[in-house]
Amino acid sequence: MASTEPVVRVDDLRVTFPTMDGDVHAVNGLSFEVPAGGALGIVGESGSGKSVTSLALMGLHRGSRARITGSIEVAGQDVVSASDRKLRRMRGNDIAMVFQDPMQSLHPQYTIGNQLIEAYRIHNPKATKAEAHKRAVESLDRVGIPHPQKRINSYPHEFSGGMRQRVVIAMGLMCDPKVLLADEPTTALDVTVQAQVLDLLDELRTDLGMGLILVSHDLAVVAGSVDEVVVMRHGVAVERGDVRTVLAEPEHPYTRALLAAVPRVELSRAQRRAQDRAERDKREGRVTEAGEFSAFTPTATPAATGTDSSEETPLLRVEDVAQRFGVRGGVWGRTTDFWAVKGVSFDLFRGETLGIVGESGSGKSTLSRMVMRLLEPTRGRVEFEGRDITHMSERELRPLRRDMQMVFQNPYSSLNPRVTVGDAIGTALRVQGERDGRKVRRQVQELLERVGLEPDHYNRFPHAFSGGQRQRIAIARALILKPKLIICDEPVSALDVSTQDQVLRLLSELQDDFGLTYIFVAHDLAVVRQVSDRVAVMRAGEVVEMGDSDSVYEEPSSDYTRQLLNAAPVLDPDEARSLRAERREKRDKKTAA
Amino acid sequence: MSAPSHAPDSAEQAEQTDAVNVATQAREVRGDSDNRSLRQIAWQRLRKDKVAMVSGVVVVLLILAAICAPLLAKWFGAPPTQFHQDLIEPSTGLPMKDPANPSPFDTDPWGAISAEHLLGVEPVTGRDLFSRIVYGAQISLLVAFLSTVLCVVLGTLLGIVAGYKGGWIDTVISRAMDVFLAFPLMLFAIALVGVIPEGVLGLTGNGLRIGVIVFIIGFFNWPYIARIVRGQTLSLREREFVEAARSLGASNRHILFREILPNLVTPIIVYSTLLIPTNILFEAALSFLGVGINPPTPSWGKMLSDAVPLYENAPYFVVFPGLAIFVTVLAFNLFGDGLRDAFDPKTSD
Repeated sequence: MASTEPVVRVDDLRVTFPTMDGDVHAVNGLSFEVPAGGALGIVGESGSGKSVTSLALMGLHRGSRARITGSIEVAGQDVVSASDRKLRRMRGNDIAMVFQDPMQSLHPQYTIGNQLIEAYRIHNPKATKAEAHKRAVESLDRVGIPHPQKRINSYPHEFSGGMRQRVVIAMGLMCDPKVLLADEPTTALDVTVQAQVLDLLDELRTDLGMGLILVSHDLAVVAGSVDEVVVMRHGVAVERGDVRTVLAEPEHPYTRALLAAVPRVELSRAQRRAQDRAERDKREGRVTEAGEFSAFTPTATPAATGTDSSEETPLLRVEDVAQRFGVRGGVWGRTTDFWAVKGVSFDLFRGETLGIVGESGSGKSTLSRMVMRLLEPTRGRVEFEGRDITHMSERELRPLRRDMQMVFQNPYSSLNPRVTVGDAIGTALRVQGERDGRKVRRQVQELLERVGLEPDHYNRFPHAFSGGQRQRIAIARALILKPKLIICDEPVSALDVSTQDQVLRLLSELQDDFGLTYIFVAHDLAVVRQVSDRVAVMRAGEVVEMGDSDSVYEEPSSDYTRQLLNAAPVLDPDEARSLRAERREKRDKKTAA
Repeated sequence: MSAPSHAPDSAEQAEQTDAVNVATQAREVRGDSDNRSLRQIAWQRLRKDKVAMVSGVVVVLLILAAICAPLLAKWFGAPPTQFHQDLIEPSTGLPMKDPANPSPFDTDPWGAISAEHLLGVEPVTGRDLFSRIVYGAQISLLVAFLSTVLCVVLGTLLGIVAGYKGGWIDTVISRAMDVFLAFPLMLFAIALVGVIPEGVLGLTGNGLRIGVIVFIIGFFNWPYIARIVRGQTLSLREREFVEAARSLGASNRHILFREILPNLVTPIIVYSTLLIPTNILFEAALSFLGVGINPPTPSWGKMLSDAVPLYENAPYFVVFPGLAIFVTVLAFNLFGDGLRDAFDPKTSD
């Protein structure tokens, strides 16, 4: 394949944005090519210039203030110098793009059929409506939309996220493009759906002989689908080569660091913990002395010492809790009941971490909010240290808030943009009755230092911090009351891989130092395994499997867990391909039956 | 930027600096930068906006002029209620070009502008127009500010409570807003001014009139602010920082006034700047209809209504008070627009 003329060729591409603070070189001398029918992965963290590159390939920087130099050739057409007319003819026809968020890339007011037909007729003005319609149905069938004949008249909101992304891909396929450019096509999707969409892209590439450019922040997403990979950082390709070589023997230290930061599903909690502790000792040259952080350690010393946990009372006992929401709509606008969580029970002991995994809509966030008593359970009981807190009032709960805290998913929305970080952290102390301003300030600054920030960050506003730093601030806010239990609701899912790794390390160190008990809610299987002693797998409001994390991961007892594990992206390209083959086989069997 | 090559054991440090670099660069691409607070960013943007700066200066000058009206009148004119009949031709009531030789055929369509009377004198009475306009600014701005403050206080309180509490409280407040907005405000004002007796609440004369006008404007215009505040609160209520505050054990009062309110300051300030000119016009309209400030206290609206029958012979008498209203309203509106753009994170600089 390497002998054929490349379908995309990028040579010394530079994209510069003039801003108030001077020029920003978003892409700074990038070169790569994609052979016809080949697949290239572009990997980088946020701000590395990968999305800017994909927009440049489509010629979508026209009309913005971006300055572009270098050359981009798509199907023999120079994108940088082409006229607007030529460029429009190229888009969709030679190169089609699949965007990140399928919720936003389809027009909500038109049926998907209208949108597909429009995409075809723009490039084939002579085609009749009937022809275009036929093609649209074929295209939908191709991407695996069931009953395409009927579904073509549906509106985007009538599809699930994964189906919508298929529709977007179908739209890209309407004109038989030579290259399909997918910019983070699965980031907004669940693991199992992600696997389906990646499988689909791979299938289309081999069946239609189409080139594929897959842009992602996640090396594991790219690993199984591409031949060649470009690792980007600060607008430069730090490494480029065959995917197997890059992943097995990375040359550049950045690639190595990036690979090291990717959470691996095969790594167990014990291994990871041992690794972290060893690294920490090496870094600090000593073991943390007991009582060093006594100011923040909860008074009841946790039982990390190995006492038999079955005999003591659990820190938290959850019994058959359920939550009902009224959903407006239906006939006559009547509200219907929707059970987000339907009867979940578990015990949580001191010093332990319980991981809760599930896809979106599985009820994991609702469950954690019930435990936090941000929601009142519709049914069931929540006991904290033997006290029933299920129906306590806000006022009664206030003293208990000291003992249980939460770290939220989105560090951008969990910090008030109009409150300085010092005040945000100190609020907890003030709310709990501390009046001495200097004391509050001192404690906040100590804690800021402990989570890896500078004490003089006290007076800054949240927008001055990066995502990872914000999450550290949120952790500090949860810690200041010396809680016994911290519920982490997707604490790292909004972060880059390397930042994610640092935050996980911090959480694990804090658990060692302060004897914390965690409930760790996440959708990422690998992350959950590395931090959890026990794991509960949730689906549609129910726990389908619960047990000690190694056994859940190594010998899953439920089909759903197996399916999840099978769908999780893996770093090894060959393993990823064999898993894909397995999934395909299973699906074919199902359709045959 | 960290060096491209570093020892593997310092990989974590490298990652850390790298993460920070990436984030900084991402922020640079977005155009906001490190240590400035939102207010500083807004101020820097505002300074670049020439229209907003000019209108801001005009607004400041207007306020200063209103405060220093007695001084300005003393330096550049005559007291606002002092008659200058020597400048008026008695049979037509119009100012004369040459007061030394009175003649009904020698009246001045520009009101006998002179060094003593910068904008000429009023017909009939011969009062100094410049000082009347400057004093008129006092009334206009006072009424506009007070009624805007009343609108903002009522609107913010009711809007924030409606948005945060939801349920039947929201329903009641929202329906109240609809009722207030449907009220025939102008008719109500005319009727109320007529029936309120002198001396209510210890207020008499102009004090009473100002009180009534401020009450009417403020009490019937709060729903505009309340709607904006309610909408914002509805979306802020769902943000995680509110949940975070609740999980720290914060009371509703704390959440409303310490967490949500600071996020509403910008829309409130912006909307207030846009509400002031509306209220200036409202006061002018009431005075025009004769239910505003009592003569002889100068008011722009009253001046206009006095001037309208004379517009053919004394056009200046329409032009100057009209211009005063026009410039004031325009300046506040443009300044408000500028503020909104400066505070809006979505506008590029």
